[in-house]
Amino acid sequence: MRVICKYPDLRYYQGYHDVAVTFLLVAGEEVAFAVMDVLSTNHFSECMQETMDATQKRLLFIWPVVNFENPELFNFLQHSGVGTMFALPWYLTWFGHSLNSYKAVVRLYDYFLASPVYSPLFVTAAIILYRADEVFLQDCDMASIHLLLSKLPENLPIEQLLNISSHLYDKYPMAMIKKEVERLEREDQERRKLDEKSALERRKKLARNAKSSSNYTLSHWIPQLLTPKSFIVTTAFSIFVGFCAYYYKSQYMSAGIS
Amino acid sequence: MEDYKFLFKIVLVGNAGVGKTCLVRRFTQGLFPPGQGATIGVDFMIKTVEVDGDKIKLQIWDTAGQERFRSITQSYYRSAHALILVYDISCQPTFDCLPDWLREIQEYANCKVLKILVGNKTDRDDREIPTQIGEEFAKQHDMYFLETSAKEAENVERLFYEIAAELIDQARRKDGTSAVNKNSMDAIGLGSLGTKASQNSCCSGFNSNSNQCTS
Repeated sequence: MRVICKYPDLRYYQGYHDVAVTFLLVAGEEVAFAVMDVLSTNHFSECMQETMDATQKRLLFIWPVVNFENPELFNFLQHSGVGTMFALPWYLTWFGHSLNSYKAVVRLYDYFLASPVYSPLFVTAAIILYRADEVFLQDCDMASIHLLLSKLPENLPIEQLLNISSHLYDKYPMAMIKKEVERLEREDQERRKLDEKSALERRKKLARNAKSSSNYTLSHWIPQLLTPKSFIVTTAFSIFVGFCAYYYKSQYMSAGIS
Repeated sequence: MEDYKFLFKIVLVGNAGVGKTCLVRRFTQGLFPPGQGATIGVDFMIKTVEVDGDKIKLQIWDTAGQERFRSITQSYYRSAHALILVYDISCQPTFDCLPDWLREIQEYANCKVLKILVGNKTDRDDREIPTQIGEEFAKQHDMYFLETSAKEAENVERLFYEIAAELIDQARRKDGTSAVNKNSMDAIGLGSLGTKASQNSCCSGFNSNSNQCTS
């Protein structure tokens, strides 16, 4: 609370108190305040911004590590569309929110205090890699994988995972991971563009069918299409189609005349 | 592989502290955790219920109420079959925010999503929002309405069972029309195929649903 008051730019998030209360219990108010001061302006500064966008972006850093170590697992997880939501509470609370064992929590906190800022991402990657066999047993869909990963097992071999995490950290420099994230994002964007294109074509087809069969269906499409995003897409698309039509018409006309 | 007839996705939204997580835990685990911590991001539970002899799997997504998680939780609205909008009957500001929530829902959710307004914490004696006000609001905005108490387990089962029954009804009605419109085949009614409901099948439900809106 005192830290939040000291830095008006930093925003409290649900989970921040999990971190604060752990230090309060272990070290008392004064030391906890000093620790939270440093953590809030360094380790958690991204999480305390106005939006969670930076944090969500940061969480993507786990994927290259998983991909380098176990591409099959990476592909399976990507295909499921699980995203990084399961790991959000881990990252925001240094696992304090998600682990029941107080002993495990304070051990992790010790480790994170003595490690580089982004170490929690590597512990996350280590946990995902460690649970690969369990992941493969699930259906490849978002709900099943999210459900499995978001619940941390009671008997995680913490020491072993921390060793792996340190090892991963040394093996893959942050700059390299960043580059890889950018590459994956580009790939993802291209895939999404393709999806949108085919979706648009499907809609066009459907709209055409609807138009010829009945009017009421079309009238129901309109409110649905009027979300801001689709509005822009549709407008841009119709302008484009208009231009094309005009262009071809003039082409054919002139061809017809000559 | 678990066998079930239908799979429905239910998403809970509403301000922080109104009792979304407690409602879910009461329903799925039968308990009321007094010191329930705040939800971070999105939590997820599954419960299989039986309605008229059919096994129905409910996927319940419990979202964080805090504003800063909004951009994250919005992505979960889209594939929902039902949205439960929760407020706290003893806390006026949670009711005052409902129009904002409805705007969110309108922008990000399926046009035919089943909307339920829930006034939670009826066990409290410092009520600020009379039942009638909640009821009227729900009526105005084409929503079902129910008051619940996660603490006393009041109306919690009923809430989820009625949602299940209504969604089954919708799915059956659609099955009827799908003989005519083949596109809508695997929208909500995944039928006995039911092993998993991919996001795709829900998205296809989005389109076919809308055809049905008018009929």
